[in-house]
Amino acid sequence: MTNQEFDAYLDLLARFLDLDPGQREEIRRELRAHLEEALEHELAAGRSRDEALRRVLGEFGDAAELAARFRGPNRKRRWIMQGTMTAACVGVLAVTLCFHQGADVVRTSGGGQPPAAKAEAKTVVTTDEGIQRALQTVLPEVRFQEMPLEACVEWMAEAIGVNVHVQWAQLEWQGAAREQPVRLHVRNLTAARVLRLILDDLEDAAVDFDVLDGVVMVSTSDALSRRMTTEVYDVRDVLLMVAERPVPAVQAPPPMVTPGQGGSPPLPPAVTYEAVAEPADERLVSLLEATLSPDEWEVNGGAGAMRVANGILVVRQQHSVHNEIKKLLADLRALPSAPAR
Amino acid sequence: MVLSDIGRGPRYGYQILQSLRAHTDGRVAIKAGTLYPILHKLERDGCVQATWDDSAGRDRKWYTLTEKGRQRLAASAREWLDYAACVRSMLRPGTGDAPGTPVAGAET
Repeated sequence: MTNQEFDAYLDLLARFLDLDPGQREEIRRELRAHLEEALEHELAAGRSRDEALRRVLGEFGDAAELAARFRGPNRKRRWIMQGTMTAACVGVLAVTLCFHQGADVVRTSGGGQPPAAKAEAKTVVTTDEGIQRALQTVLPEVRFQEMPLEACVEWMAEAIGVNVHVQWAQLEWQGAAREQPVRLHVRNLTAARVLRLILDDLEDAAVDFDVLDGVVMVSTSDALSRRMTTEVYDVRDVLLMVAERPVPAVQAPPPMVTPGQGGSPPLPPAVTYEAVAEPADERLVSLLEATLSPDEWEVNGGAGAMRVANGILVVRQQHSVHNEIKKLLADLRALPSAPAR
Repeated sequence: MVLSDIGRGPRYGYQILQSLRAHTDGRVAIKAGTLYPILHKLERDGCVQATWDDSAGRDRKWYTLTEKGRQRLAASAREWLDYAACVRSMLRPGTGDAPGTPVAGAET
């Protein structure tokens, strides 16, 4: 008798069992024998195959939780545990991941089928933009029961298909341990929010995460803030919005195409609104400094700096602030352009 | 309870579940997902020994009690019976009949 359902379950279990291959194979062999015998009995008792499968697998419960129960003290507690989301069919039959969006994510929904929640080999996103998108993936349900921090983070990386690197040395320095148990049960939150909740739970350490060069980096806030990068933003259109009064000659946001006025040479943009560029620059800079992580700017004693020249904003800041800047600029651009009307 | 069942003779996992259910009129119905981790822990602790055998036409891992397992069973059975006797003596005056004392030793 071939039982793909058992294979799927045992495969999943094996993934969660952090044991050496021999032990893993032995558990697999033993449980398979049990499953087959139990199934035969259920079938002999006159149940349908689906019902019988549900019952015998239900006896074992969630694969990840079961794996956790096989934990032994001799393995230094490095265990992948129950990063589980509620199964679609009988409560805890299967680990089922259902994502609401994204083309590159797994969707294995049980429905009426037997549990086949095998985590498929997924592509891992390595562009910063892709990772930001992946972090916005909505996770229908996340339940961690006393799951070690390390396993939580690994689970998260797996779930949304990104690389996550944790600077354990930094974390441990601040008193956060890999084994620290995490309890969390939330629904319909983005992966980024869930990760934030996990990290916020660490009492003794200020831990943060950031997207850096294709990797989600988890480290102490201090360590992350030391990683400063310089980025350049084209803010010519935003400067126009920030300017107190619109420049007469410029009607629409992209000013490059607007002809200069008063016989300016053919490099018009800077010239065109030179008259108001200075105050608009200052207004933009003080707006950013005041609203985005105020403590991080040099004027307020932080390490970040920014200058505007010819409608180009140059910012040296930590990555998270860069992200805030991008978001704010996008928000500004999304505003109805009042001055143009 | 798992130990006491294995104490009656070599057992394999599925059989232990059935046997526990039968012996307790279904009142103790531990799940497979609970049993196997217990078995593996007992094996690690040296309380049971396991051997594979497929002579019955089915691949089975048989568990037998070791000397250490026997001692552990005796100790926890004694503990449990003492506890049950104590509860029983407390309940008797007020509530009339106390529930029957379990026959088997406990291993949790």
